[in-house]
Amino acid sequence: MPDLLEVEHLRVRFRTAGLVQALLKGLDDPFIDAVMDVSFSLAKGETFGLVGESGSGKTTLGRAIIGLVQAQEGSIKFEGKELVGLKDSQYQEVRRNIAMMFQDPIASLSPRKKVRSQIAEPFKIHNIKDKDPDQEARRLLKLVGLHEGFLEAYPHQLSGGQARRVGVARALSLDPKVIIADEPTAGLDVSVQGEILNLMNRLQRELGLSYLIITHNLPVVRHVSDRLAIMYLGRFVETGTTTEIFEKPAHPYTLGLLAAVPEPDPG
Amino acid sequence: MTTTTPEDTAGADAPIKREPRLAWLWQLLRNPLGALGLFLVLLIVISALGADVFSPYDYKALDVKNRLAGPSWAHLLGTDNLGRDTFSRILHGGQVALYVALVSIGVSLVLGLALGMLAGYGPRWLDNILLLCFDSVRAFPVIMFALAVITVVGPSLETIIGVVIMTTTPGYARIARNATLSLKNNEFILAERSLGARGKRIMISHLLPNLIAPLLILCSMDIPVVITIEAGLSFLGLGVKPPTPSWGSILYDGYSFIRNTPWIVIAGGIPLIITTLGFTFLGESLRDVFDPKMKKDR
Amino acid sequence: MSTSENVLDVRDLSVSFNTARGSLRALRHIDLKVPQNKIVGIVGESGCGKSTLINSLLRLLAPNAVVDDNSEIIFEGEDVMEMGKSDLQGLRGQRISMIFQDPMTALNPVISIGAQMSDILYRQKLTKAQKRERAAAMLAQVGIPDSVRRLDDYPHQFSGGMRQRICIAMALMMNPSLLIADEPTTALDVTLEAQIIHLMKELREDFECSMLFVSHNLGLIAELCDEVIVMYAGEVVEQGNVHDLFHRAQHPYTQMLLECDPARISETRKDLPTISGSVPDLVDLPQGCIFSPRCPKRYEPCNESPPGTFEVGGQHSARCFKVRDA
Repeated sequence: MPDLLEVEHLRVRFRTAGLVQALLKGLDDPFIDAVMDVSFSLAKGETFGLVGESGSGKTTLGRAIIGLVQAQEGSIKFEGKELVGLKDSQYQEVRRNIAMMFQDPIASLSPRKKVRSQIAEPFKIHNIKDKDPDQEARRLLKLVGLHEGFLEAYPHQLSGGQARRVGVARALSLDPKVIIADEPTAGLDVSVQGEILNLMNRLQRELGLSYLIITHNLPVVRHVSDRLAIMYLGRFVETGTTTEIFEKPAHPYTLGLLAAVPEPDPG
Repeated sequence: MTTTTPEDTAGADAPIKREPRLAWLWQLLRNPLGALGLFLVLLIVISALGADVFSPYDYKALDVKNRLAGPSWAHLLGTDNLGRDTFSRILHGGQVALYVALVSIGVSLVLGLALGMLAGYGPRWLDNILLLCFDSVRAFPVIMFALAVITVVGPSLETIIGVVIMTTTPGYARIARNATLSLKNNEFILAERSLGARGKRIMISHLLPNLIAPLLILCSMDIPVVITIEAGLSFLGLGVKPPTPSWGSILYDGYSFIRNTPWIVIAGGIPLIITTLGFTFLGESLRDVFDPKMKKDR
Repeated sequence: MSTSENVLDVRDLSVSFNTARGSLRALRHIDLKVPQNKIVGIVGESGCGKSTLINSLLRLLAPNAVVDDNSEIIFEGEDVMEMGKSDLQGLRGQRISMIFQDPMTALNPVISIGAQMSDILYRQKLTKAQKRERAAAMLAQVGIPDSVRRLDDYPHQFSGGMRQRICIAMALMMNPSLLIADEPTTALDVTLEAQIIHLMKELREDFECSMLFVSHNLGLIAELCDEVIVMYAGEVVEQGNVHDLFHRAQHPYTQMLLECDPARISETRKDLPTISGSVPDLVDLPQGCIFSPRCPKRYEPCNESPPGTFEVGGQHSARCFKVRDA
C-alpha cells in the first residue's frame, strides 16, 4: 500500500527577474531553486519533521504541497493522486484533505473576524451544507480545549497559545488526513509550547492524523517527530529516524546544527 | 520530583482579554482635541438635521424693511440685503454643505474601495490599467476641472457632487490598493488560500474589513475639503442656485456690503471654520486611536 | 556604598498603566542590581513585564504609565527618575545603549552603515575621517571582514547575522557603561545565534561593560549570564547567580520553567510538561502570592498576602513563603 503522501524529486523555482529585465541584464537563468530534488513520504499517523534554517526552502516545500506555490518538476502524490500541475480549482478537493497551519498564531487569523467565523470559514468556502457550522465550531473548540466563551473573541484578544489552538481547530474543521504545521511553536512561551505539542499529539492519536512539521527548533522536533529531514539550501542533506539523526548525525551540517543549540546548563 | 504535569488544556480556559465595547470612544474623549472635534461635528450635524425646527424664520422670507440689520434678539445674526434671516439661512446652508459632502465622499469611498481592491488583488495588467486611470484623473487640479465641467453641464448641486466623486475616488482607490498589496501576502490571507478560499471571498470578507477603518478616517478629514469646494464654487456663483442658501453664497452676498455690515460675512465664515476644524480634529484623533503603532504601548 | 560596585541599582520600582479597564499594574516592587562587568539575564514569559522594565530604565514609558513615587533607578550613582531632559539624552544611547530583537528594523535602510555609525559620535569633536576610522575599527572588532570598504554599504547588503553584529558595534561606539540586549538572537537561526553569543562573550572581555540580557531562551541565559533574574507577571520571583538558579532553583515557577524546556528533557517523550493555568490579570491581582493560582506547592500563607523577598543564601533570593519556612 502506498504512503499517504509521496513527494518525489520535487523542484520549485522562483523567478528572480522578469523577462525583459533578464534580457537586459544578460541573465541566461533568471531563476533560483528554492527546493531541489527533494523526495520523502509520509505514512498515516506518522510525524515527519522538516528541519532547516531560514532560506533552506522548508517553508516553500510545505507551501508547494498545498498548492500555494507551483512546483516545476517532480511529483507530489496524495493517496496515489498526482498534485503537480493541478489547476487552482482542482486543488480545492486536496485542500479538504491537507490543511496547513502558519507560523504566526495570531497573524494567521483574519484580524476582524470572531473566532466563531474563523472556525466556520472552511464550511463556507467549500459550501458544506450538511453540517451546522455553528455546532461544528463549538465541537472543534471543545476538541482543542477552549471553552465556548472564545467563540465571540477576536484574534487580538487571544494569547499566542489560545490563538494557536484556534488555528488547530480551523485546520481540523474539514477532517483532513494531513496537517502541515509551519513552526507550530514559534513565538510561544516554553510552558505553552508543551501544551500545544501535547494537544497535537493527542489529536494525532485520536484522529489518526499525519503531521508534516516544519521547524528550526531542534529540541522540540526531537520530542514530536518519528522521522526527520535536515534541509539546507533547498536540498535534503540528511534523512532518517529522529533517534538516528540525534544520536549518529552523519552530515557535517547536521552536526553543526546540533552543536549550535545552546545547552541549558551553566555547568 | 516532577511538579509539572503533561497536559494539553493548561491555560486554555483562561479568561479572554476583552476591552470594554466602547474603549475607543473613551480614548477619543480623553484627548481634548478629539472631544472638541466630536462636539463641533455633532453641533454641525444636529443643527443641519434640525434646520427646519431650529430656524426662527423661513429662510426664503423677505423682510425688505429690515434689510441689512445687525444682530438683535429678533435676528440673532442679522439679516441680508433682501432682509432674510441670516441665522436661518446658515442652518439650511449646513444642510446643503453636509449633503454634498456626505453623498460625494460616500460614493467615492465605495468606488475607491472596489477599484483599489481590484487593482491590488487582481492580475498585474488590471493593476497597471487602473493605476494609469487614477493617475491621469488626479493630474487635473480640482477647481479647474470643476470649472470646465460646469461650463459644459451648467451649475447645479449634482454637478458639484459628480466632480468631487471624479476627483476624490482615485485617491481612495490608490490607498486601498496599497493597503491591499501589503495585506495580500500576510499570513491570514495565505491561510485563507490554503483553506481553498477564492479571490472574491478573500476580498470581500477578509480584505475589506481591514481597509475600511483607515479610509473612514481619511474621509472624515476630506469632508471639510469638499465643503470648502462647494462653498468656493457657490461663492463664484457656480454652485447652488438661489434661493437655496449655501455658506458660499451667503459669503458672496455679504461680501458686497462688508464695509457697513460685516455681520453677514462673519456669520457665513464661522460655520465653515467650525466644520473644517471639527472634522479635522475628529479625523486626526480617530487616527491616533486606531493607529496600531500607538495602540501597542497600551 | 553599593552604588559604586553596581552600575545599575533598581529599588522598589512599580509601574502601572491607566487603561480603559482600570489600573494595570505592570511592574510591582522590582529590585535588581547589575554589578560592574557582569552579565545579568532576565528570564520570563510573555506578559512578565520585561519590556516595561527596559522602557522604565530609559524613561521611555508610554504617556499613560504611572511610576510609583518610591521607585528609584540608580544608574552610576544618579537617580534616573530625577533626571532632566538633557541628562536623559546623554543617558540614552551614550551611557546606556540597546541591542534590539530585529536588526533589520533597528538600522535605517537608506543610510550607509558608516554614516549611521559616525552619526552616533555627533557629540564628539572628531574629524569625519577619525569618526570613520572608529567605525571601521569597531566593525572589525565585531567580526565584519573588510570593514573599511563595507562602511559605504547599506543595511540590505548584509545578511541577518552581520546586521546584528553591526547593531552591536553601533551600541558599543559610545563605550556605554550598560548594554541592554533585548532578545538579540530571537530573529536569527541557531547557528548564527551561537556565533552572536560567542561574539558577546568575547566583547565582554574587551569592553568593560555590564550587560542586561533579556531572553526567554534558558539555554542562552545559562551560557552567557553570570546572574539571573526570573520575572513572572510583573514581579521578580527569584534571583541569584546562574549556578544557584539552574541547579538550586527555589521558586516553584523557576523550577517548573526549567522542567518545561524541551532542551533540558533528556529522554525523548511525546508528553511534554507544562505549567497549568495562565498568567493572572494584572488589573485584578490575586490577593496572595501572584503565582499561587498555578502553584502546585501552595499552602495556607500563599492565599493571604503576597510574599516578600526571602534570602536563600548569599545573593540568592526568592519571593516564596516556602523559602522563609524552610
